[in-house]
Amino acid sequence: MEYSYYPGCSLKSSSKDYAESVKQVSDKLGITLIELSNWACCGASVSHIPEESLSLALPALTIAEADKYSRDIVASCAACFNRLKSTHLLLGKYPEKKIETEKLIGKNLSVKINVKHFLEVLFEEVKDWDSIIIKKLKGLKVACYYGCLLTRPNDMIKDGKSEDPRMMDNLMEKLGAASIDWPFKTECCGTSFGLSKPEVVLKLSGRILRSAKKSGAECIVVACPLCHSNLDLRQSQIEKYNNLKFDLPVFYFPELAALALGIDYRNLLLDKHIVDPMPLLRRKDLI
Amino acid sequence: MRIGVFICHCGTNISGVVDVVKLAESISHYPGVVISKENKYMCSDPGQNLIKSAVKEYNLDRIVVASCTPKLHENTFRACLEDLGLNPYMLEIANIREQCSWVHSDNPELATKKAEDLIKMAIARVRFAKELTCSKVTIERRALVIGGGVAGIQSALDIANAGYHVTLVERTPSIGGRMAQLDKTFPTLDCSACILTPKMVEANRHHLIKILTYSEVEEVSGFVGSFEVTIRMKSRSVEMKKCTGCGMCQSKCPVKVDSEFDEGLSKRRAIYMPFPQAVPNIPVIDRANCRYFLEKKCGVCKKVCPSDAIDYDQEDTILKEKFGSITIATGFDLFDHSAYGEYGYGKLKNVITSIQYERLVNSSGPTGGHIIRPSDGKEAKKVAFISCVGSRDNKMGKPYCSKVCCMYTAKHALLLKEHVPDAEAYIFYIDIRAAGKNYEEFVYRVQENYRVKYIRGRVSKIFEEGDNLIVRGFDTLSGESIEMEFDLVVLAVGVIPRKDSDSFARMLNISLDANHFVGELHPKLAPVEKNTPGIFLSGSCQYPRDIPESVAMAGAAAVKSLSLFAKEFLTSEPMISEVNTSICTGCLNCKNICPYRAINEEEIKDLDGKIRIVAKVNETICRGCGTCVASCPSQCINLKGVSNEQILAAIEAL
Amino acid sequence: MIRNGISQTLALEIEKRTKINVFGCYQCGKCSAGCVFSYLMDTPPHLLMRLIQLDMREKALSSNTFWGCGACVTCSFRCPREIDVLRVINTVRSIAIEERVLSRNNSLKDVPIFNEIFMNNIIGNEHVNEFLLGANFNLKSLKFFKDISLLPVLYKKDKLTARKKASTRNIKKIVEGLKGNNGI
Repeated sequence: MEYSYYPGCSLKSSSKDYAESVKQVSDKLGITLIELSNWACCGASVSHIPEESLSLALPALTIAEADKYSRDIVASCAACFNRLKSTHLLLGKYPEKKIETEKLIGKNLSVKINVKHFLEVLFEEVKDWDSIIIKKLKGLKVACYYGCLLTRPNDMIKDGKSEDPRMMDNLMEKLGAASIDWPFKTECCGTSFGLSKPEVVLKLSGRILRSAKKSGAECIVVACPLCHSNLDLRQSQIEKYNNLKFDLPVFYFPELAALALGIDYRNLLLDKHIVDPMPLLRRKDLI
Repeated sequence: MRIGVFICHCGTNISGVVDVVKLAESISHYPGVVISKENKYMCSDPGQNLIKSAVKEYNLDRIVVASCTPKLHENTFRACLEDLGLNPYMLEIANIREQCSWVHSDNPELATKKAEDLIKMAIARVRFAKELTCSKVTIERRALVIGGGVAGIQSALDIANAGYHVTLVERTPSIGGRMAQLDKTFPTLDCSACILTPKMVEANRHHLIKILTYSEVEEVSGFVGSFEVTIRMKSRSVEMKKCTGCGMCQSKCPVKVDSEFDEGLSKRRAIYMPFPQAVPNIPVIDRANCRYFLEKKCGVCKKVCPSDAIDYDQEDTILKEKFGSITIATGFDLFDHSAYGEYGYGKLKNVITSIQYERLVNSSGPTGGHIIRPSDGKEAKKVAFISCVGSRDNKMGKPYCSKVCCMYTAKHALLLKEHVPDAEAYIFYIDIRAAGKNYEEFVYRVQENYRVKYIRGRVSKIFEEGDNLIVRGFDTLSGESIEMEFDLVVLAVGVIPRKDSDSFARMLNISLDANHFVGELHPKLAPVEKNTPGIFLSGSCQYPRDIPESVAMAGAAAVKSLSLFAKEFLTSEPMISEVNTSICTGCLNCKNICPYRAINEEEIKDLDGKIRIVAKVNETICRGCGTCVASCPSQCINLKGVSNEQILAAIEAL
Repeated sequence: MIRNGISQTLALEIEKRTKINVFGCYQCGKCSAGCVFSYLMDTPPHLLMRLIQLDMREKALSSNTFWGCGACVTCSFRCPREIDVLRVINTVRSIAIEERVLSRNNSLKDVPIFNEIFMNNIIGNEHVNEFLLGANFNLKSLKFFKDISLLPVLYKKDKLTARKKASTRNIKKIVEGLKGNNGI
């Protein structure tokens, strides 16, 4: 199936590894992601944007762009996905907001196409994983971390259990991994406070890493570049701040899907990870 | 035709806006009006005497009173006519207060004009007034009580003690209801079972009370004074006459299933009595779980029964009986907390419900009164009690307050301290609602003497860390975040309507309120009555009720039955619909639309001998709502007292 | 001290912008209990709601609630009165920015600086240039050496280069359009 693809800013810079794994997996599975030519930043988080009309206008720019092709939009960044979908829902709910936003961006909005996260796409498109998996992720204990923006508000990804989502866990289990049950799946990692008030991230992401470790995870799986950056890039800072040792590699979910689908790990830019995942993958005989 | 018009000042309520003196004068010239008078209070004795003397003096045969709404004083003026020997229905009320002076106080002139129009319309209607009479209906002086909890038991006892027969129908194998499950009662800390079981025994012994347990009401038809009720007595597979209640069968039965009575905290057998003091003291076989019924094997109970009471072939018995009144005392269910994802979707082992805690803390309960946690049987030393789980929560579709949780939660915390003196109890609440005799004092005691920590703030998340639970809350009074570890968390789950309340209401043809509780006739003045005459309410089927309230309601509902039974006969409402069978086409639109199921089909023989079907109104059931009149395509139904010709005449008078 | 009664100008302003009726809030505190950022705030969410209800405008606008908020949506999602608390918080921030009310608490002073740099960044590039975002933030917040240790790693792992400057200037146009209206 064909989708309009909205990669978002991070996948073009700090998270090229995520972008690459999305590309590899969708190519392998025959999912056609056609990148929108004129996309703009979604605003990342409503708390960065001084007023609501602007926080709606930014995602609306991309929604209007996607309207041209009447294909569903796919985002792989949780924040992009949330901003696009929330805006989409709000404009559908309040017609006067839609008119105001259309005026602001100078374009009409159909509010008809769906907004999906790449996780949903994988989940919906592939019915029978068993027949296509080359290498099961046997024995790999993963903690699926959804973060805040994938499941809130209610049922952003159509999962049914926003407080204990299962979609990524189910995917991991289909790939052969063992997903652990843990209570911090949807706790916030500290978002962009990494720049403006780093202690926040060190504290909040520290709790997430601690909970995952305590629950027996060997690695964390994420669906958001900012979550990845906070848990992976800042892991050594977090360890220092909390005086704990984690050593937990952090994967993007398509990276693990790619390995299971038999894609050569050397195509995956895994060397961009800060916490080196190679020892774990070698230990589990996955590379 | 001699009409008198009587216009009320209602103090200054009407006369402050409407010029009643001028009105009386102008109306007196209206065709057919013999006399027109005004008075300060027409409903007062002098006002009524004015009407009476005018009727006599001018030989009036019908009157119009222009006053407040007919809801208030229509009966007063009807009685006035009756005293004079006139038919009470030769009366029309023109509502010139609620429909005129109160809403048009800003424009007295037009208000006076409108009042005049309203009176003219009433005059037009009264011209076509017909004498109406009530018919007499006999009363079946037996009461049906549905539900064998404390509300149902008390209602049955109150009716039976007044000398009337009562049938008490209970769905489960024993009467006793929720109260039988409770440990202590607030605020007196009486042992719940100790004060309930004497009532259960008394009801069982009473020669006028017939208790049908393991039975359900399946169908209700008829009307006040004469309800026809079908009751299914499910087969117990045990012959009640032979069984001695020795309990041998349930001690030998090899099947174990979760006990409903202990809320899943213990196991019962496939043949079981729900609890030791069950009334009747006779077990039932739960056929859905019995090995004999599932696999045609076993038969142990039959083998060990010393009185040969087990009967695998027993069948359900259908009972059809007539009752004069029905009391609904079906009680409540509890909110299923698995709807709360933030509290673990009901999957956290050491998060239990308040009713489970009642069983846990009960000395004859599954743990012998030891407050231990389900995961490892360790004694709970630090317990969080969380209020308003499924109450005051619009997100969960439960906007109302369950009313009893604040008190039972205070009691729970107190009992924890009594059972485990060195334990710590924390109550997370939003507001403490302790409106009841000695309730507030009870809460003081829990706070001051038992040092239970009250934390004002709803809990946002509960999660496991190892076997312990972490509760994330906030004390809104101090502004302090709270993240504390507990051994056990008790959720004060809200009181909700019975899960089958919708189908139950359909069966009885009664209405439910917005929250699906059984709605009352009037929230202030008729809280135990339904809009269907002869159906009364008791206990938590109406709204969450504590024990004293349930008992009080039970008595009130019983009095309603008794005042019905005390009458020699019932009189039917005269303002009901009638069918002109000569033009009825038998389409039966009216039958299908009637909200009271008062219309049936009838075969009549035409003059030429042909048989045809027409609609027939059951005079005792019809409430005179007029829905059928509006639905009749051939306009052959008329509402007596508000006939089509009266309405047309009123419109023409405008 | 409340002496002369309580008006509702702030509540009405919020209602006008968002259609949210803040008087539905009964201060159960579930928002504050679930908020992982509440420890940063001088006014946790339920208390901000109260300040709005009491029309304590100054206190509400000079609170740091909206600078501490990470927009994780937990408050709105779990609110038993179904109030979109996050939208209320954001709206109070908008009003505070419009009226140039300063936070009475200095502990989160870098957050508005970050936000401003973020906005300028996307106005200039149409998308986020993460390297420029970090660098400019360090300059503006006078934290020249913050995360400096991460730099070599980021460089080595090619996490600093970004998408080419876009040809379109849509974001700039919108912001300029808004400035014409009421100024941001």
